Amino acid sequence: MAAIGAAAADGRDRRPWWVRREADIERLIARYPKPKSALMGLLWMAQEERGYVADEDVAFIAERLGLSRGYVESTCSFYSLYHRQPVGRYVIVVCGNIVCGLCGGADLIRHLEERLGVRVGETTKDGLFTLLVTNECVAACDGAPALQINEEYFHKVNPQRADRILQALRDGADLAELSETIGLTAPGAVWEAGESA
Amino acid sequence: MLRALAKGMGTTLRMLFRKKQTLKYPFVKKERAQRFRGRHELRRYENGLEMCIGCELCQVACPAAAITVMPAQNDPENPNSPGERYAYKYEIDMLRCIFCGLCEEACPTEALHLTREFELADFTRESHIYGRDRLVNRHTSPFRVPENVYPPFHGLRPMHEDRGEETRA
Amino acid sequence: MSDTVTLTINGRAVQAPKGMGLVEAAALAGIEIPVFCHHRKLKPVGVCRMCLVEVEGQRKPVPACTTQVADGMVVRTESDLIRHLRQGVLEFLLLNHPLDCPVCDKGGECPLQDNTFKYGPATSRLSVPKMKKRKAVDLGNFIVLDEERCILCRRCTRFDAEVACEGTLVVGQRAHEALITTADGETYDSYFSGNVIELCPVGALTSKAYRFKGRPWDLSRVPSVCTACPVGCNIELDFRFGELARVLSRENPEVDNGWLCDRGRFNYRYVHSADRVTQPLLRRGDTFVPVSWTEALMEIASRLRSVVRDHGPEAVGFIGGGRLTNEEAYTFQKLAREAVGTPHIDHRVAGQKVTSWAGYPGRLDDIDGADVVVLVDVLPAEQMPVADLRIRRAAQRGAALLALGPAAPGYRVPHTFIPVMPAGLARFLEEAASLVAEGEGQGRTGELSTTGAPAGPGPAGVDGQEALVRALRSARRVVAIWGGTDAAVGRALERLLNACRRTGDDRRLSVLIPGEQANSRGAEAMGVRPDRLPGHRPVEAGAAGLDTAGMLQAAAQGRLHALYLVGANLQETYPDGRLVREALSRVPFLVVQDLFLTETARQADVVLPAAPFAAKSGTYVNLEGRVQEVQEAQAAGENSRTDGDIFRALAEALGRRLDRSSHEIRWEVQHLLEELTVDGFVTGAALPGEAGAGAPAPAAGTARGDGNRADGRRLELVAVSRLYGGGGTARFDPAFSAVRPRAEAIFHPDDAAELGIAAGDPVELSSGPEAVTLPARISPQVVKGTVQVPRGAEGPAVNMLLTGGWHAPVTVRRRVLEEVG
Repeated sequence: MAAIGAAAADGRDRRPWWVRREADIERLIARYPKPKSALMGLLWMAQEERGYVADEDVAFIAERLGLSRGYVESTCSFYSLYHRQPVGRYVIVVCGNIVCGLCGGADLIRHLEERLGVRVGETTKDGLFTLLVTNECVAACDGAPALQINEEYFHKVNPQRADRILQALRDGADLAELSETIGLTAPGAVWEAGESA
Repeated sequence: MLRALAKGMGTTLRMLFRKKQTLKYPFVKKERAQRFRGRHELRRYENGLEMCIGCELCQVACPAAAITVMPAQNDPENPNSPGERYAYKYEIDMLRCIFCGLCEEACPTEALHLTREFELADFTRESHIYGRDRLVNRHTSPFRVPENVYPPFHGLRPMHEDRGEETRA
Repeated sequence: MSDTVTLTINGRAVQAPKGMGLVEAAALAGIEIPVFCHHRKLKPVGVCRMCLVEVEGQRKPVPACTTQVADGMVVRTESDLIRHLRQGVLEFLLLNHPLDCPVCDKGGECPLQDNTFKYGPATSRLSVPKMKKRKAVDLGNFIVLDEERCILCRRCTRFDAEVACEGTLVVGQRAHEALITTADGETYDSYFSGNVIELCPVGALTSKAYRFKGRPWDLSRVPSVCTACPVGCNIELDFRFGELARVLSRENPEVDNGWLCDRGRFNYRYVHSADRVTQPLLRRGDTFVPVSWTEALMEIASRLRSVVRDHGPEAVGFIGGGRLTNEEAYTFQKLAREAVGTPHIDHRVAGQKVTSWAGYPGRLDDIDGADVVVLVDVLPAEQMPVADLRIRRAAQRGAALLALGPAAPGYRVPHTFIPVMPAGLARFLEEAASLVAEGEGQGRTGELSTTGAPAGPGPAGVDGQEALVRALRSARRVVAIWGGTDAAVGRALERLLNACRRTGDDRRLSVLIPGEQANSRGAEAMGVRPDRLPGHRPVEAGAAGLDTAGMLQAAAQGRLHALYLVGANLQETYPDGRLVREALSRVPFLVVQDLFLTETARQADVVLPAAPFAAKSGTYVNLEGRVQEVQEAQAAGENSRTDGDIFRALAEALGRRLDRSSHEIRWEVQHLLEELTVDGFVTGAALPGEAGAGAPAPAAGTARGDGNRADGRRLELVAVSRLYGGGGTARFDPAFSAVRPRAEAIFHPDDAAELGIAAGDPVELSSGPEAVTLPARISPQVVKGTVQVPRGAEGPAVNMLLTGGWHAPVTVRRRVLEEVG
């Protein structure tokens, strides 16, 4: 995911993304029998460009697809992976559903709040982390309590593992690599297994 | 004849030394039963708010159609009751009332209470229609406002109030 | 009988039409299946799970609302399993539903209460606190939202998307945080927002006007008919202690289909407004003094008598009557023609020339089956809102919706807007007519491009015409809706429809004209027109009186010596403010009969307090010619009287009884309407030009003076109708004070740029000596070359710039601040 304002900082093309990427938008809409179906893709495109979905993006997408603004916002707010407000470089999404909650998710949220010095829904001052909690399951109950950082999953995250992940990201570790190495646990592995190191 | 007279006088004499049945009402008042149903009162919570929320259930429960309730929205600055609604007009026609207590039973907040006061006589019919001024108890009761049932009303809230300007693009 | 299927519900054989939902089929057999999300006028979604039933052969219980009947289906709605499931569903629905029924306005008529009582568990197993959400949220103009009470059945959002076709109201968020909301910064301000109150199965959406006014069991209910617009929706008036507490819809599938607009639903508090005139008022110098009815009527009678004696009966004019019942309108023209003896009587008060049309009679349900809907110089959402729902549905179904005129209708459904300047509208239609006639036989049909956006600014070119012609050529059922303000446009429209007819006999062509007042058609049928007697009978040649414009001109020139206005605030509603001002100030004797002391009434010599619609009994004719009866729902109140009673009393004061018995007028009107009725509908009148027309009105749209100011630019002023505008009832209703249109001048961005106008700038619009300064607004919806202003808005009276039509060229100038200060 592009960091906030990266395109503008480059100073190359300051036109709005929908002007720059008109061809991509055309192609996306043409893929579906009804333009309405391109809604998810366009929201994703907006988020890719800006880091979140801004009010003007909602207005543009509604206009472009012939939908009401309410409809676009409704879709956007349904999915926890679309952000309506600026977010940090890493969006940490803690699963708020019951399985993760019972397996220590609630403690994990408290621990992360403490470590990051922010409350749920807020972004750290350095713009690195945003802490969010979903209403719905992130579909990783086998690895409860689960975290999702941007597009990568981290399973069975206890406070110690959370600290290690945060530290690694602060040190500039690659997210995908990190998830490969310490994020996912083998099927059948128990809590302590990931704990040994 | 004399015997009968003597017997009668004897009874009278005996009764003179018995405990008296009559009371010197209104100087002395008879003890009323614990569940005696007399004049109504509308109680207040300990913080002074009226317990009545103007739901009109007493009005519909009343078999004598003696109660009239006109509800209204609370003034957020100066609420009459907890929550959004209160009775701005509450009238009971004491001449119609049969003191059955169904209104008390219907009241969801236990605001309406039938006291043991029974001296309701007056000279005009109009004066028997009791309004809020006479029904609402001047004193507070020990009841606390129940939590979370009727949260305080702060006026109509704008549709989109949570997101501040700074978070907009 | 292949269209019906037979199924068994609870052991009972039920016949139902194919494709019917199980809930409706069960209702046919008198079996109730409880529902929350399902509503027979909305598409089934099956989200609440309340209607689960057992169907033999299905592994699991199925929702009855989304299941269609099938032949041989065996359904059980009352098994132990179903009872258990219903309890479970209700327990879940009540999990976070607050128990504040005692303060909830829905209490007593709440499906959630009722279903819980019938099917639900008595207790909940929830031991932790319920979820808290926001209460009393200001959702829109007329509606309060309680987020806690909402059970997310989505009836309201589906209504907004499927019926109103607007899509403002949506479900936001997800899971337990889901709530009814709108896009950020928007509120739910649809013209049809009130309907969601009746749809809501809980107390989540409640009315601001009826908020904490009473309980359903307190109310006495009277069926009535709405008099806010000519659609004539069926309503129910709910009174508490004699006061009108609310208005509900009373479904009539042929008229309103169960929906109401917000004007009809919420504009009722004026009935009990403190501003109402409650006593006859007599002018003494500069002030009014309240007098008795006898004194007022004697004064009017003696003044009218002396006018008739000195100047003849032709010196008296009568204007108004479009809001009266047919019986009252009939009495009104009797008062004018018989008691006074003048031919000058007209119901038209807002510049409309034609209110009905004998050829191509249209019905509201014609719109449902139409392939093409053509709007000619009309804004249905503003002038006939509930009928507009049919238009939107037709457009969403795939009918071509074309709007012609100087103002875009602003639909969110697919439509084509063809901007045509008012002056060129007749020519545009005539050219289209000849194109339709020419193209006959070529069989040119093609895809019609439909877009949500206006088809480009500026006057319509060939594109627009081609779109219209192409749509008409291939259409089988055409509905034209016309504003009726310009007779030349009417004749051109007739030519166009004639041309369509020639191309095929099997075509159904119909025309609907929304009258300017609720009973304009009734008033016309009752002869409240200078050129027609009751029953559309033309007056003898040469005996026609003056129409409204003629009367006003005569009054301004001093030829009319008395004017009698009924329910007409001409100062606000007539599109020539200067003429009205001159006429009212010149006329020696002015009587105004109204509910309020309007601008017009303030100039009167005598003001008579009329009773509101709820106090009347009689019949109304709606825009399609349907006769609907109302009964008296409340007493006239205070010292006011119904208009009919006033006319009769005045006639008696003039020495003439209009009826021998109280039923005579009613009987005569009934007889007249029966004579006019064809196929159950009152026929329209012939187009003007066919029968003897009144005095020729000045051509609309002519400039007053040359107005050649060097620093200004000429634009066409277009005054558009607004649902909440107008001269009377909305203005005196506290519920409408915040939503009434404000006077403003709306420009196309290009025009604004050329004039150097920014939003909010004061701009001066001038025509001849008259000038009006308004704040500017910029909208791409406005046609380039026009400046749009709302009619009957709060603020400076724009009709000062008009000369009889709702459009006129004006000079536009940006005002510099010094001038304003």
